[in-house]
Amino acid sequence: MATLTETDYARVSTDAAERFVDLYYSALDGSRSSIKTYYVPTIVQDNGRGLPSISYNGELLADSAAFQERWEKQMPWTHFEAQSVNVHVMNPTMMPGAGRSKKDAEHNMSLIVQVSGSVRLGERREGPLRGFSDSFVLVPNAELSRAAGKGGHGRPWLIQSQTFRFVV
Amino acid sequence: MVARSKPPRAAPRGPAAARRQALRADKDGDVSMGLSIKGRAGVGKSTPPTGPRKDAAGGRPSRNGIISATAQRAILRQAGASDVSMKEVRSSGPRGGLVELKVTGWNKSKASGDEDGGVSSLLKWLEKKASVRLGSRARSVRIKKSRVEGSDLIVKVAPEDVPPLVRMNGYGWAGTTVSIERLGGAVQGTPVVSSEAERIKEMLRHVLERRYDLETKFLNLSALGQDEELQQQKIFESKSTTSKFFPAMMKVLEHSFDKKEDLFAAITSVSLANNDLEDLAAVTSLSITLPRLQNLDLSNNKFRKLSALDNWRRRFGQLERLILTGNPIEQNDPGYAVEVVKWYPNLRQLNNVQVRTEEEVANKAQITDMPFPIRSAIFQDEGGIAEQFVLKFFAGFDSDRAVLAAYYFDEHSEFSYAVNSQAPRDPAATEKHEAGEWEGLLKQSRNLRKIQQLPARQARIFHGTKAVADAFIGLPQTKHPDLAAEAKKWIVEARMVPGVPDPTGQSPNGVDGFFITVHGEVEELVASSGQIKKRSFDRTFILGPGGVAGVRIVSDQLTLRSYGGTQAFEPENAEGWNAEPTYAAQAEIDGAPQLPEGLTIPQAEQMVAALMSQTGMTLQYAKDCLDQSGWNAQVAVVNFEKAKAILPPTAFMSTAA
Repeated sequence: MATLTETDYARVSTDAAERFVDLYYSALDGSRSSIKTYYVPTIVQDNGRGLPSISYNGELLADSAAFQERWEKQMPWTHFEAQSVNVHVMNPTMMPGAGRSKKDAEHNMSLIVQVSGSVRLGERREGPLRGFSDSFVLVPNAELSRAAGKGGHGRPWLIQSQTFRFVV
Repeated sequence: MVARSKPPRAAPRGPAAARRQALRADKDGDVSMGLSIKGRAGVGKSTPPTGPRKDAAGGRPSRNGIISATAQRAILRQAGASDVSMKEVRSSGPRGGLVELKVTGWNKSKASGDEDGGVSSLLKWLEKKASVRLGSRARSVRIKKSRVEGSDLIVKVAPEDVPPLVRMNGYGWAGTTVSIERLGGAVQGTPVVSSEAERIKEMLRHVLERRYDLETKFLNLSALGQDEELQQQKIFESKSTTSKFFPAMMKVLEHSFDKKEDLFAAITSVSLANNDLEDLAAVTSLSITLPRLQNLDLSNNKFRKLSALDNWRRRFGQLERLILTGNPIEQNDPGYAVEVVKWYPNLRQLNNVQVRTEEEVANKAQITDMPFPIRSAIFQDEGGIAEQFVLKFFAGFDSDRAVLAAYYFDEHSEFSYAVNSQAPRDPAATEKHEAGEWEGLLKQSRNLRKIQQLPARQARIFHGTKAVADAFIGLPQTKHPDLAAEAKKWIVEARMVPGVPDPTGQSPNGVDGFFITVHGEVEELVASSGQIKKRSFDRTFILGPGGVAGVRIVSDQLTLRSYGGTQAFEPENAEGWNAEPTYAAQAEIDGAPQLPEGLTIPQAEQMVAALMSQTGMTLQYAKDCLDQSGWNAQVAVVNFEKAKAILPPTAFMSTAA
C-alpha cells in the first residue's frame, strides 16, 4: 500500500481545502440549490447520532436538505469572503487498506478546515457586514468514483460536521 | 427644492396653499398655518408661525432692494463658513438706561375681553417670543416696565433686549398683527450689524428661532417657500441662493451652540414637510447638523422614488419616527416602506404605523429575515471531558505552555495558526487599528489565502509535542478572560465526531472524538512595545482519546483576528430552545441530555416560566440559569442572586419603559 509523505499530506489537504472553500461559499451566495451536494448523505450512525452534523449559529440542523431549504427560502442575499483558510489532516488513513495506489491513499484521509471571513447580508455594499468563523470536518466522497464513472459531477470532499458562528 | 418664491399674496394653489388659508392661532397667539397633515399627526405638534408681515406700522425698513442678489450669494457663502459669534450682534448698542418701545395693533385681540384688555398676556407673549431659546447663549428678555397709553402699550427694556423685540414687528398675536417700534431716538439702539453677512446670519437665526418649539424640541422647517421673511430676502428667487440657503441655515444653527451635544439635545424632531422637495440634495446637510434626530417629517414633498432619499439611507441612525406620506413614491413604489424600514434600524413608526416593537429594536444585531438567529452555544459533552479540557487548556495557555503541550499533545498532534488581518472589527470600534499590529505573528501565519507555496505551508504546521511547544512559546504572552466569571466573552461549542484516529489501533476505522470550537478574545503582550493588544480568536480542536490526560489534541487550529467585540455572542432572541422541530429532532437522535432524567419538556417550560416571572430574566437566560443549576429551581434562584449584578441589561425582559 502506498504511503504518503508529509509533503503529500500538506499538498493534498491544502489544495482540497482551498478548492472546497471557493466552491462552497460560491454555492451559499449564488447556487443555493446545490448546497446539499456539499454534505455527506444523511445517515444515522450505530450510536444513534446523525450525520452530517450541522451547527449554525447555535442551531443544529437535522440534515443538509433542511439546511439547503432554509438557504433557498429564507436567507437574504449574501456575499461571503473567506479571508483566512487553514487545514489540518484529521485522520490520515480513514479506511485501512482501501485501495493500493497513491491516488487512493490521497483520497483516504479526513480534513479539518477552519475559515475566518466576512459576510455581507441583504444587499451589496450597504448591507450589514458580519464576521464569521466556520469549521468543517471533510471526508472523501465515497461515491466519487462511481459518480465519475457515470460522468456525473462528484465532489471529492464532503462536509461531515460543521460549526458556523457569526463572531462579529 | 424649496418652492420657488411666488408673490406673497399669490392665489392659493394646491393642497398646501389651501391649508395655508386655514390660518389659526396657536395657544401663544401666533398665527400659524393649519398644517396638520390630513389629520395625521406630524412629528411635532407645532406648526410654523408666519414670518413678520410687511412693515404694517412703519417699523424696520424692508430689506428688499437693499441687498443685491450677488451680495446675497456672497453673504450666504460667508454665513455658511464664518463662525463669528452671534453674540456680537445681540450685544451691540449702548449699555445702561432702559429703552422705550411702542407696541400697537393689539387692542382688538381675542384677549381684549380680559380684565386688563389682554395686556398681561401680551407682555408674557412678548417676553417669551423675544427670548432666545435656541442656542447655548440662550437668554430671556425681560420687560422692566410697561404702561398703556390709549391704544399703545409702552414697554421699557434693557438696550440689549431691543433688537429681539423690534424684530417681532408684524408678528401675529391672538388674532391681531402687532407692530413694535422704538420710541425716542432713531438709530441708537437699533442693531448695528457689522456686515451683510452678519445681517443674513441674524435673519437665518431669527427664522430658526421663530420655527423652534422649546417644549417639544421640534424645529419646524416645513413650507419654507412660504416663509414671508425668507421671501423678503428673495432667497428662493435664484437657484444659487436657494441651494446655499439651507446649508447656511444649518451652519447658523450649529454656531448657535457651543457644544454639539447641546444642539442634539435641543432638537430631536424636524419637519421638512411641504417643501416641494424632489430629492435631498438641497437639505442633505440636515443629517450632518442633526445626526441624532429621532423624528423626521418629510411628508407632502415630491419624492418620486426611493433613490431620491438615498442621501439619507445611512444617516440618522437613531431615527425612531419617519413620515413620508403625501409623496408620489407612495403610488410609484408601494414597496418603498419595506426598504425604508431596513434603512433605519431604530425606526419604530413609519407614517404613524408601528413597524417595530421596542423589543425588536433592542435586538439590534438582528438581521432582517435572517433565518439563523444567534442562539446560545451547543455544548454536548460527555462526562465533563470537553468542559474540563477547555478550562484547563486556556488556563495553561496563559501560564505554562510547555507543560500544556506535554499534557495534551502527542507525536501525532498538529497545531498551526492563521492571521486574518481583514476581519471585520468590533462595530463599537473599541480597539483602534494600528500600523504593523500583526508584525511578528505573520511570519508563522498559515493563512492559505496568503501563503501559496507548498514548502511554506508545510513549514508553518507544527507536528508533535516538541514542535508544538516551541511554536506555543514563540507566540506572545497572553491573557484570556476567565471562562466562568466572564462567560459572555466566550462562545464554546462541542460535539462528538466519528473517525478520529485511534492511538491504540484497535478501531481501524477511528473512534469518536470531540469537535470543539471556541470564540473569544485575548490580551497579548506586545514584546517590542510592552503594550497590551486585545484581539479576537477562533480556535478549533479535535480531541481524541489517549495520552496522559485521557484526551489528547489531534488537531489545534487557531485564527487570530482584530478585536470583534462580543455582541455577536449574545443570543438574538429567546425563542425556541426546544421549539425548533429540527433542533428537537436532532436532540432526540443525539440523546443529548438537555434536561435531566425524569424532567419532561413541559415541566421544564414551567420551571423556566416561573424563574422568568420571579427574576425578570428573559427566557434564554432563565433557561441557561436552570441549565447551570442542574434544573433545581432553588439553586437557580440562588445562582441568579449571585450573578444578578453582572448580568447585562439584555438578560432581563424589557419593562414598559
